[in-house]
Amino acid sequence: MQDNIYINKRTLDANTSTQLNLKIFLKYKYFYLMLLPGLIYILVFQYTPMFGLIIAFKDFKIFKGIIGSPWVGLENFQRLFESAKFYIVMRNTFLISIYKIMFGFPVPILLAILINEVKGGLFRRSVQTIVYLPHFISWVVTAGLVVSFLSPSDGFINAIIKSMGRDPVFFMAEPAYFRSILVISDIWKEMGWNAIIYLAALASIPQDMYEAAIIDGSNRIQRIIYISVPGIMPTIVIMLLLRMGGILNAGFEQVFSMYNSAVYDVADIIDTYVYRVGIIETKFGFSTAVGLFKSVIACALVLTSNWFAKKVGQESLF
Amino acid sequence: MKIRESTVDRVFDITNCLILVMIAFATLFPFLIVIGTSITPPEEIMRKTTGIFRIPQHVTFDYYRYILKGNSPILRALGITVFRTAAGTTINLILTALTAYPLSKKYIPGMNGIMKLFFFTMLFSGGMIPNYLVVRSLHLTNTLWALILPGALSVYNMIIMRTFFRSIPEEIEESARMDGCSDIMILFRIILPLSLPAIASLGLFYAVAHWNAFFDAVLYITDRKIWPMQLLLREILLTASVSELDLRNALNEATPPPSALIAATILITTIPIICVYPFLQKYFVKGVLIGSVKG
Repeated sequence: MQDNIYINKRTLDANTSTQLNLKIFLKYKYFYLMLLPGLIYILVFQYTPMFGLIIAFKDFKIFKGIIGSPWVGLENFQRLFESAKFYIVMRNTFLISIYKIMFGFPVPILLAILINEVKGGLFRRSVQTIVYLPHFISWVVTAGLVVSFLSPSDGFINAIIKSMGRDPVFFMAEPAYFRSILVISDIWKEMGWNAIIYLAALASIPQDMYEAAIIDGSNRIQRIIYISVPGIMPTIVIMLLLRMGGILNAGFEQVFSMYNSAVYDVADIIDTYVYRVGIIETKFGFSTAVGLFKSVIACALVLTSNWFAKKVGQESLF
Repeated sequence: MKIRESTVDRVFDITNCLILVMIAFATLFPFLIVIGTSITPPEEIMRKTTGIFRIPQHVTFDYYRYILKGNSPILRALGITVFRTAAGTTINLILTALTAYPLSKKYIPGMNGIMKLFFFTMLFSGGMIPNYLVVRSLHLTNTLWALILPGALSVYNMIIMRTFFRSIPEEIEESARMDGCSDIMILFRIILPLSLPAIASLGLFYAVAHWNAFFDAVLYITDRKIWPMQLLLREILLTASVSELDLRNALNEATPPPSALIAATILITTIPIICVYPFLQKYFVKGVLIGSVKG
């Protein structure tokens, strides 16, 4: 260890000395060797695609290749902003995300508070085990559960509707219901998982605060409102900020496994649009432009929200 | 000190438990319905009872037998998924450990810069189409490599592993080095055996991700013979028909109701996850919390 630090300092002092650099390189050669597969991986599968993004500015033809295709400047982006489809897709992305935040964000907080009020025991553990489970089920399977739950011929919901003497509804093909189905199934799948972080925050609230409140004659509901909720408020704010940072991710796998042509108008989000235009219609340059537009804005949003979250996190410490 | 519970508190407790029972039930309910459908004999399904609940009077496992028999596409798709999960997770773990170990050494020159190179890929990526073009130009499309190599390393998991490696005291490595152990031997003989809990939990995460993945197959695999299970299930749901299941096997039998076959297919896709779930649960809370500290 001493030796390492010593050499490290000397490198800093004399990093012009190539001989010494070589010596250090040889000393740690196995460590650099171990890094090689990982470096090759990110170069090939992460950085090469980033280089490939230049086809957003090209009229990409597959037989001409990325380098050989002619530059067209911002033509792809211009076409994008002029197409009516772009505004539909943007609206859907934002609406689905905002609905998910509005209705889905408070649920795990409430669930964590409720679970936290059950002190230990088998009941608490069973509830936790059950509500975490759907997180590990794929979206395809979830879509399968939703489809059979809402099926017009023998689904549960339509059985209720039929028993009231009404006609069954084909929910999955009904634009009026589709976004609600997305929001509800997302809540069903992720509420338990998202509650974990709040449960951890609740567990870190000092117990003596509750004890003091008990002596002051407070009841459970008062303790929730005046101790638990303020205690996890920093976590709530940070999670909300991070969620806002990901607002352009409306849930690609979910929409992709549930949507169909009958509901494109309300369900098509940026990612599904990129897939259909790019892979199905093979307009590679144009769809890369759409994807790049999303990536850049998403990256900026994530950085901004992380910056805010860090600020909040620091302030809440003092 | 024993404090008498007030009436408000007792009412609260009972309401709270009731709400939680309802939430737990609502979580399980869709599964219960599908399980019910998958074991209800065809006559009972055909009868189309007007009641809301259909609790099967008799139990049958014929649907499972039906979709798993002979050279059924489901069996083949399951095989593909098992293979990609086993091979993919192995490669994931090797690459994660090999990358995380050197990067956990702050004192080695260059590691900070290389870490930034990895970190940047979490913020920004080429996206769907450029990724597709890379995989295509490497001639990986329609091979199982396309499901394994593009996601061979999760930087997020690598950071968790790195955090774990850092918690192992440096002195252990130093003494092994004194005894003439090479750096690679140290990783395999000392660090990895000490990291088994981390390896187990990351392995489970990788395995579940592989089992559940379907979009990479949508992009890269057009040959139905090597479709993984999730993709086959998606196709069955999308077309709402079981024609995918190759009903030619059953021309001389009565064709079972599609909804029951779909239910059985959904469950066959899910059962392996449910089987590893108890192990997953043991580790994932820790994983989430490490991740949240880092993120």
